[in-house]
Amino acid sequence: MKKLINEVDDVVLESLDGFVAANHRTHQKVNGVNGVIRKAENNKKVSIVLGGGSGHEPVFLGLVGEGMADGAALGSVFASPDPQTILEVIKSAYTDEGTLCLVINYAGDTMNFGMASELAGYEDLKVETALVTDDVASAPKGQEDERRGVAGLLFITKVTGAAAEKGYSLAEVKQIAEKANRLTRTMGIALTPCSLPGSKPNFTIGEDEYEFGMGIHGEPGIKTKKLKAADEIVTEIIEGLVDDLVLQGGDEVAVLVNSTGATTILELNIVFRQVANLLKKQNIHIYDTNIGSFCTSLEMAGVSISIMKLDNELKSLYNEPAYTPYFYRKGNA
Amino acid sequence: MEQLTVQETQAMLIFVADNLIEAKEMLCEIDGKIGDGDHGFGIARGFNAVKETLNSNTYATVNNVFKDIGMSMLRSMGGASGVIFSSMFLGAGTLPDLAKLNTESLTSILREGLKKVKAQGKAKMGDKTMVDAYEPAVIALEQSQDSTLETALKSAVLAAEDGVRKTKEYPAKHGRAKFLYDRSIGIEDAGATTVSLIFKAMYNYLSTKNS
Repeated sequence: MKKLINEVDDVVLESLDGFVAANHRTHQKVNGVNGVIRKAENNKKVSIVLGGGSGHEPVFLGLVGEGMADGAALGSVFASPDPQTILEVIKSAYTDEGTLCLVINYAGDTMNFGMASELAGYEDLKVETALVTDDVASAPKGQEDERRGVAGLLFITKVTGAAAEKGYSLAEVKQIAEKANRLTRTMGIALTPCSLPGSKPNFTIGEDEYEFGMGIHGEPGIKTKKLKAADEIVTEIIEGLVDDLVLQGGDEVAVLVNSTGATTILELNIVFRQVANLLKKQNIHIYDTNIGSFCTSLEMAGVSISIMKLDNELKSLYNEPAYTPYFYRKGNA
Repeated sequence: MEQLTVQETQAMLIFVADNLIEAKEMLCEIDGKIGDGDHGFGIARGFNAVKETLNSNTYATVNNVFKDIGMSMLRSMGGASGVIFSSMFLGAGTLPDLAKLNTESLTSILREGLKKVKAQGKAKMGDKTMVDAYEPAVIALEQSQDSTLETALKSAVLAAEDGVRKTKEYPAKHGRAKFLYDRSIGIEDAGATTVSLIFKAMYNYLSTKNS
């Protein structure tokens, strides 16, 4: 695949430099490592740190901002950051209230964040971790803890960031993150593979096929299926999400229709049209919708749909203002 | 009994680093079949850092050579493989100082490393991970305590390569490939392949040196 890059080894740092240059009023780079933090005015709140491999932009750096995360540690493309990078980001974003790390549940991320928390503990820093496990296709019901963390991270960061901003304690912020994770589900499909900078795509998807239940690292899905009309694919996804989250008539939800990279707004709106139709039929009320590229797998064509069920507490936190260069809510609490 | 000095150990491991850097594309290709195809990049990144460190430092003990390799990998790689492969070398840090590398000391270093790898990754034999090559290789070393380092490593290489072949038969239980369930059967594990290449490079260094 053609890519607009300089040297393969420099993509993460150069992209980070560009992001920080563009957002210099609100964001700054962490010295010596590939990490970014908010220029915070409020140091009396719990700080939220997240991170993971690169190639998912705007996740993770694009989730750093007001009412959202305070710092992001960035790894190489599709590889978790190393423990030292994570530790430096934790220290740069640290406040006396402590830090909550939001970690997507992939082996590399949990291991490296685990080592970083251990190192932080040696320096007497208060660090807690909440795992994001929203990807329904990655493990059956009953084994929710085994599931991968994917695009639902956006919603979980939103309400967790709001809780921190409102002055919740570290334990309370962690509880919000865990609750938001329990109430968030995602399912995705891919139409094309993606390629790491400097490589060929690592698998193929036939012209008349799609991959069901892929992760966010360009790996193949759980199943290859014959391509169908958008409405049929969306129906299959929504049925899966409603079933797994046990949604019922009268429930209120926030919806994210996420492009994995190449899928256009033209298509995403077609997808959401069907999401809205299906949920309306079941009397599930869509409180708010986000449509766009949030959690991508480089240039992969595909879509994931995330639903977060809102109770009163999550709804009120969801309504708090948030601003990052890639996600914002005006706030109407 | 054949023994390597600290400096010779260092030279052997620079040779290992060169071999693994060269294997970058091959490892990416294997990983791409059931993973995301970046294993070779991570390994090459790690061993490039290892090479830089080994080329610019001198060491008093064999342990320190291995420990510094582990730290270089941990700092440079990231990903699950950064933690796992650095653990393979960091085990040396828990042992008393070793002045020479022989069959006995290499076995103890790699046995400690295996403990660390299993503690971090929680993988056991048959889970389709690097442990499937690493554990049989350590067992082969343990069974070769009366042999020269070269001969012991030869059995370790054969055991590791056999382990790699067996990973084809298993569905993955860890890492990203585990989400593929039975779709991962028939493909060897990239991490196991890396382990076999590390053992093979050590063996090749010694057999060339001794011939």
